Amino acid sequence: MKEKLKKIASLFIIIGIMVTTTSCQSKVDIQDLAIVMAMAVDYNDQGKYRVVYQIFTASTFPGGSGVSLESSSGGVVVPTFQGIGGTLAEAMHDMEERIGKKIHFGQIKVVIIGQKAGERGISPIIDALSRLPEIKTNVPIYVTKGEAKKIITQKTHEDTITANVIDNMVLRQIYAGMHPVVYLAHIADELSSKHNVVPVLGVINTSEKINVSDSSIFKLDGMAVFREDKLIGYLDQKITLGYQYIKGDAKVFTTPVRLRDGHKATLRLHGCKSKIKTVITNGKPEVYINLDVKSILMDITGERDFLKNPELLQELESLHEKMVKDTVNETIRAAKEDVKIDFLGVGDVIYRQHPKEYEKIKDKWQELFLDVPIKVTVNVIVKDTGLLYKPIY
Amino acid sequence: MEEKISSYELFSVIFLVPYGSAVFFFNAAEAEQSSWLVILIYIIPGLLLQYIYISLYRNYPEETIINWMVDIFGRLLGGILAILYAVYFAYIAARVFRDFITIIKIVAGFSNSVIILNIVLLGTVVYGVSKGVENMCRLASSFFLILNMVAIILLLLFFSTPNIVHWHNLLPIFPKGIVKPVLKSWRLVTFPYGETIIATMLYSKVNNQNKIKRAAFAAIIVEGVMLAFISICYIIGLGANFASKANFPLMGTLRLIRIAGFLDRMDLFIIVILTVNAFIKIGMFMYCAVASTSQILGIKINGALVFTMGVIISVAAYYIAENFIQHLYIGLDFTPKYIHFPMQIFIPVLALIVSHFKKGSRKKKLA
Repeated sequence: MKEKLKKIASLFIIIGIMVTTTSCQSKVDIQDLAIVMAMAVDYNDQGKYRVVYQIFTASTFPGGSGVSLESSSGGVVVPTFQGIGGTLAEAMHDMEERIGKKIHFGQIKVVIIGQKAGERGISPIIDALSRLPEIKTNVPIYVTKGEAKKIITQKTHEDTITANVIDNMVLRQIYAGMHPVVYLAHIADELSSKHNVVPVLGVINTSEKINVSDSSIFKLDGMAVFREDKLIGYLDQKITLGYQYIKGDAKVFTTPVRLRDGHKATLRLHGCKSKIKTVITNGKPEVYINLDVKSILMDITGERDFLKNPELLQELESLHEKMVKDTVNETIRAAKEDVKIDFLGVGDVIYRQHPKEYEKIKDKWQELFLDVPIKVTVNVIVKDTGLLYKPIY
Repeated sequence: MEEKISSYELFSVIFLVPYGSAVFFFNAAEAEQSSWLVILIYIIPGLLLQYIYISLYRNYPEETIINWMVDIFGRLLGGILAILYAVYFAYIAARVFRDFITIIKIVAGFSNSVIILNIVLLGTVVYGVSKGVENMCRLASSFFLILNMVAIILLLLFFSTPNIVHWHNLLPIFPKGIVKPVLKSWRLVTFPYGETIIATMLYSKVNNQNKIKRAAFAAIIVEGVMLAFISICYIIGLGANFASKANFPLMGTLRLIRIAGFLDRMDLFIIVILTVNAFIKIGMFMYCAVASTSQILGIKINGALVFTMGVIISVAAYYIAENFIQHLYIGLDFTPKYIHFPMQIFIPVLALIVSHFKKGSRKKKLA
């Protein structure tokens, strides 16, 4: 009898513990969360930060619970909210009462920083973001020319949620490597480095409508260069490509090649390996950049039978080599003459390879960089010519 | 019935107890990108510490650190030291408990009153400890496998995510010479390696006495290699600058994982690792505190003693620091210098020396 009583008592205790410790006290339903999909940070004329969120709600999708918000022109509109504050964190929580829900940063897909906020300095922004307990460290950070708010409130044709469109573009860039994709953790690491690291961020802009048949809304548009944490300039697509080659991040994209006899060919890059060697003689650094590029032939005009004379491929290779080399040299020239700052990270490479010598030139590195000889050698291998070995015509 | 553990169980406990919380922090942050090498170098002092503890144990087999102190320093001084050790184990349990509560609160976004978390976490630990050390050690040995499996899965996911691994972050190795960063990170001796002092309470329970040394040394080496590898992951994932500023680099590193655009947010794994580590670590320290108290008082370990210790630890966890930063500051500055160092290194070394001379004089008397 006593045994039985003991068993029953323990059963009740177990049930009691199970029921009382399930933490229903702090339960949050998904409808009660304002899930931030994208975030835009601007700095307005009154000297305050303005934050705009794109919020995912259950009613964003047709078929979801709740009343869907129909815009006047038809189609579902994703709610956006705006907050203003003297500091970023203040602005980030300014709209909380107006949303009436708990703001959840866990699913944030992209953070876009406006031009003015970038010029003001991105350190406070990155600091405030890194402090959020629920934020992911792999949130891509982008800069835009003009106001960041414009990007977020832009309506797209593919998806009601703008953030998803940008997220797809980012995922594609990781695979293609035409533009730098910089995550929150990486920019935070670069900003806290003490070794002349020049942070760069990708740039996203609204694309000017080329014609009606192209429904793209955004385009990745080169990159932005920072001095310490302040935006100093933008670089166009071609120079960005050279930067990606130097970093070894260029992966898969097509480039046209003009042959010597006037015919044209298109090559598709299939990976690029970059080796940077630095030599310091008498306190004067020299830099050697060695690129190994693999590519495949996409199309070619003119009578060319690659099976009969494989030397034709070598012609293609040397032309592609020259093209890559020109692109990289153009980027180096832009770094030395246009922006006059070492955004290529050459100083960082010297620090990693020759830490002791670097200590001596550390303070005047940015001036020294302008005269550092940088030699580029490129080696291209055209791996194959697709499914054909000679043109079909 | 006397409790017995196998040498493999001893190995898992010695591995898991320091590893339990060391895995969450960027150890040897002073050495920046060379921290993993420093961790590897500090395996040697870690082995040395185990060697000291085991040599002490060989002089007084079948006994624990509490009895050694009384045997070596006499009833008065040894008794005080024994009480100090009991308090020390309880204090470390409280520190670890505070660590884990804060991490769980932050990682899981736990906004409930902490009392519930307290009951759930410490209630389990109290129950585990009251079931005896044999069961705790057996649990540790199976958790060892589970944790390693989880770690391997996470590492595979981490290394197969594109665009996050930056191997060049590991360079330069020791830019300002090897001596300075190694000396600066002396705290590594006390934490994580010094926490293996809990093994002094377990040696006498190992069934195969000849395998103690091998198991303990293997645990220290595996410990060092694992921690060094995790440190490498922090550096190549987050970068040494960011990792040394982040409170929880493990969380930051795992949140970098994103495969095929959807497989991300490995927070669940962190919580699994966290609760398992917390259970083993707090449980073992609490067992040591309970066992030493019972030996000092000359009573058997019973439920009331374990429960009282649980209450003491949970209350102490609140009052050891006002906020988490103060808690970390004490843990990095005060505790290693004035608590860990004397308890883990100074007193055992002194005891070894004294016992050596005592043994010599005893031999002379016999002759």
